[in-house]
Amino acid sequence: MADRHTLFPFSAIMGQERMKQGLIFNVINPSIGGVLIRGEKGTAKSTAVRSLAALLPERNVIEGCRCNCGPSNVSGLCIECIDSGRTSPTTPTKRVPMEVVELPLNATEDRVAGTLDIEKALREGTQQFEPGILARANGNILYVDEVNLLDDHIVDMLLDVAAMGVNHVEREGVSFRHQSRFVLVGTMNPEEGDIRPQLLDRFGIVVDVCAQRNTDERMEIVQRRLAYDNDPVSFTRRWTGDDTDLRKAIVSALERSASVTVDTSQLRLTSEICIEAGVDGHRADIAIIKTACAKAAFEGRDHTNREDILDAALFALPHRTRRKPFEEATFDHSFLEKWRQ
Amino acid sequence: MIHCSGCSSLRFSAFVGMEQVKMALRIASTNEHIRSLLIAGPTGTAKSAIASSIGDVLRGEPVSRISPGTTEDRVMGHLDIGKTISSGQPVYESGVLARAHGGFIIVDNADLISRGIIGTVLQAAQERLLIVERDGCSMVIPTRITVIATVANEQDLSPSLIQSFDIMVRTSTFVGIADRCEVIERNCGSPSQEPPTFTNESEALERASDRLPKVRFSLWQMRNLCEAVGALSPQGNRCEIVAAHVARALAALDGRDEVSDEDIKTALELAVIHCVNPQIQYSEDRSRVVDLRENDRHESDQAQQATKRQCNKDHVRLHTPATRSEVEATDTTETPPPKDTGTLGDTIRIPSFLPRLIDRKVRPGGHGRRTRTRTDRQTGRYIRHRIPSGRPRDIAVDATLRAAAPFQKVRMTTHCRRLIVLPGDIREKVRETRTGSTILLLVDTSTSMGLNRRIERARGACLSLLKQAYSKRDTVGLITFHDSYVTTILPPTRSVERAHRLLPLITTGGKTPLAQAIEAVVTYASGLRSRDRDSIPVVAMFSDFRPTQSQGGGDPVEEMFRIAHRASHEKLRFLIVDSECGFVRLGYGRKLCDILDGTYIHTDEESNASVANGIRQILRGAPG
Repeated sequence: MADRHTLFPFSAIMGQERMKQGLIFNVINPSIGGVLIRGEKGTAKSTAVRSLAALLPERNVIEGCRCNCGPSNVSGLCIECIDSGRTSPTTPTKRVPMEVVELPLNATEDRVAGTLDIEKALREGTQQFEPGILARANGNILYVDEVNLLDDHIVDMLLDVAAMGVNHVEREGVSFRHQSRFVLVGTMNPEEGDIRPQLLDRFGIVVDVCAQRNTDERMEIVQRRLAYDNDPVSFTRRWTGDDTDLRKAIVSALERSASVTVDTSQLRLTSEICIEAGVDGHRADIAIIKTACAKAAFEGRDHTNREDILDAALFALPHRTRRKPFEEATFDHSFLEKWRQ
Repeated sequence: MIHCSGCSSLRFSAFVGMEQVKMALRIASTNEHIRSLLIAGPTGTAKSAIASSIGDVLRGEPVSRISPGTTEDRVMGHLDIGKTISSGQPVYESGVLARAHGGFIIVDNADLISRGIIGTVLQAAQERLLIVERDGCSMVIPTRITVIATVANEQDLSPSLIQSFDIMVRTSTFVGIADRCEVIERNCGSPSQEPPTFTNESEALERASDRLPKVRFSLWQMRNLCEAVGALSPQGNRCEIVAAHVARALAALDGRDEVSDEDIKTALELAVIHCVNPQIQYSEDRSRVVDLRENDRHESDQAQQATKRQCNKDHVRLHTPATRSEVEATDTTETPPPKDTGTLGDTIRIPSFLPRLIDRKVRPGGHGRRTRTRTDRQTGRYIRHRIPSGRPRDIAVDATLRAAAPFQKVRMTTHCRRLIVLPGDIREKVRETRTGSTILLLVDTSTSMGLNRRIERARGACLSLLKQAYSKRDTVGLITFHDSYVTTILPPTRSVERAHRLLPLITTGGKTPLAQAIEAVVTYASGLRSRDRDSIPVVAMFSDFRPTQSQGGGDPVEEMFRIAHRASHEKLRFLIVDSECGFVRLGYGRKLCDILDGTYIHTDEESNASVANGIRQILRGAPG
């Protein structure tokens, strides 16, 4: 990954508010289940995801663990932690910033799941596990650019791990298990092809982005980018303040998020919307509530309101409404109107 | 007097004409923010030659090359078995991308290179770095590269791939005698005859690079640029950024510190036009699009007036790009959809060039097709490894080393520190090729298909096929034919929704040029095959198989069978969906099917779903 200080700053991205919100809500509440950003080329999709790194909060991990094991969950520790006795609550931990871990399209299975550490094996003759991307992504954001082009066998692995939260490796004489809970973030251009339905359903929320069409917005985009290209360091420095404020807001929302409450009338509203939209299963309902909570927390409230639910529905429903294969992929926002009054 | 001095490659400035291409190359080497360039043009118009000559004018920057034979391993790097064995620790051999850092990569015949590789190269150029997670190796490689790709027929690239390039330029064949002579003279003449100007070229580029940081955009120019881009309504917001970089480079090359109107105009041509999505013009609601544009224009006019008042200067208004798009927008509304082949896709007028192409592709006689499975399985993506049964062909180096590694302590002696690999350690690669298949739908849109709702049936069959493709992740292309036109409505795409949107636009009318259609689709499918050697495209023909028009003026039926005989030598799979009905049946469809060794389905007897099942069967049954 490029030096996080010279990435195009998150705050400097013009507009695309919903995309930014979708990402931020997932940082505040990772259990939303990730976000898929769909849109044409050149809409700052991957720029936004990568620059998110500068806004991410810190978290505790067990010192010395190579699989990013967190101290809170003893049952989910990796085999290495268990073997070396890092199970007690007094095990030393350290604060590390949450990261954006990228899964490139050209990745091979051994690097995604992890495999035998060849150097160790050559030097010492020991069979030691070398953690892969799924270990690095544990507790972090796992980002897949052009997720619709990801190879099927990698998708299968991702689906499996995402469902269980555990990566189980049995290959090349190594047997290993570690927790792998991550926020899955994908970006794609629908023009390049569809995404597998099973994978689509894994994403908690979806944001559709399009280009800024207004001349003034275009001008601002070009000017910011030219300034950045000309001198990345000073441009980034100019936006550090905004990024820091945003980061603080995220951190405080994170603290608040556990105590946000949803009252019964809003649960009822959520169910009503989901029934009307004709969604399969209950993932949509859950995603709406969680997104609404994250939104309330981000806006500094301890209770969700009606508006939060309706807004969250726009994030959680577009990919879940039952539709025939060929109806327009875009979600008809007007159908929420009747609840708005 | 010309002395044929052999094949000395031409130097950059020695190319006749091609000013736009030269300018694009100069821009790319002046401004590092321009990271990819696509040169499209017919064969023999010096695309690759001029791209290669870029090395002449650069100082010490590496020029690497990716050709259709280059594998993914070579592009991204791989584990070096020789060095790993001799040194006793894993050594990673860097690939083309890593070695090209700080220079140019030339991608010849981009249409023959797999989408995965070209996507990786473009992304590496764009992001300035390549993340490698393969072959047991995890690293980030810096890739400050500029990609120069060439393609003979731009229709062979998907629209989204074309739009991934920062700049696109076209070359053409010269029509003037003087220019042609000049080309011959420069190519065959002795090197001393070359004009002396090109030694200055690299100095000029260097000066331009030095000047570039000083070049400024006035607010007025910026508004001009963005308004023009808004009127063209391309994909995303990236191309206005690229256009701004191009305009600045143009000013720098011209020795100015201010961007001019002319610079902006050229920048729009180079960086924006190719990103305008042709889909917009024939999306389901044509009037809406035009309305939008009119609104835009209205708004921009107002904005422009406001700016004028602000600036209060006698600036010349930048007319050209906005006006051109206005003209285009009105053009598309006035032309009725079925005849408007220019916007409905890429029309190929058959007689002009296709026969020659197909003749070249005829295989030496006697070779049966589909007789055996491909033995060359070393393409496709390496997904896992296995213990080989019998003689290993495609060794998985990383897995072999991992298998051997734990025993090295035991095997190594004090005298020999080298890595020892025994036959039992050897692992073989299991490769996976793309999952879906390519299905080309060839739909007869002549008048006869309009009768008795035949076209409805064809459309219905297409739909059920598309529905299956949706879940099987196939790519589907749609080609129609009537009169002397064979039109690619939709180049093969995985976006089945787009295909679905276009199906209702098919209308009927005109004669039935079956022979031409078969010829065109077979040529097209063979092209696809050479790009992706592991999938055999399926050609599904929807027609009543009553040809009424021939290419050479002979008997159309005879011509159809002749072409079919030739087509049967191509390694393709055919499905004949016959919708001939009525009392008198000629049964040409059945006969054609026998010649092509395809599968025959009659729409009268079968439901739409069974047509799709027929295609499924072909997909399953044939060797992959």
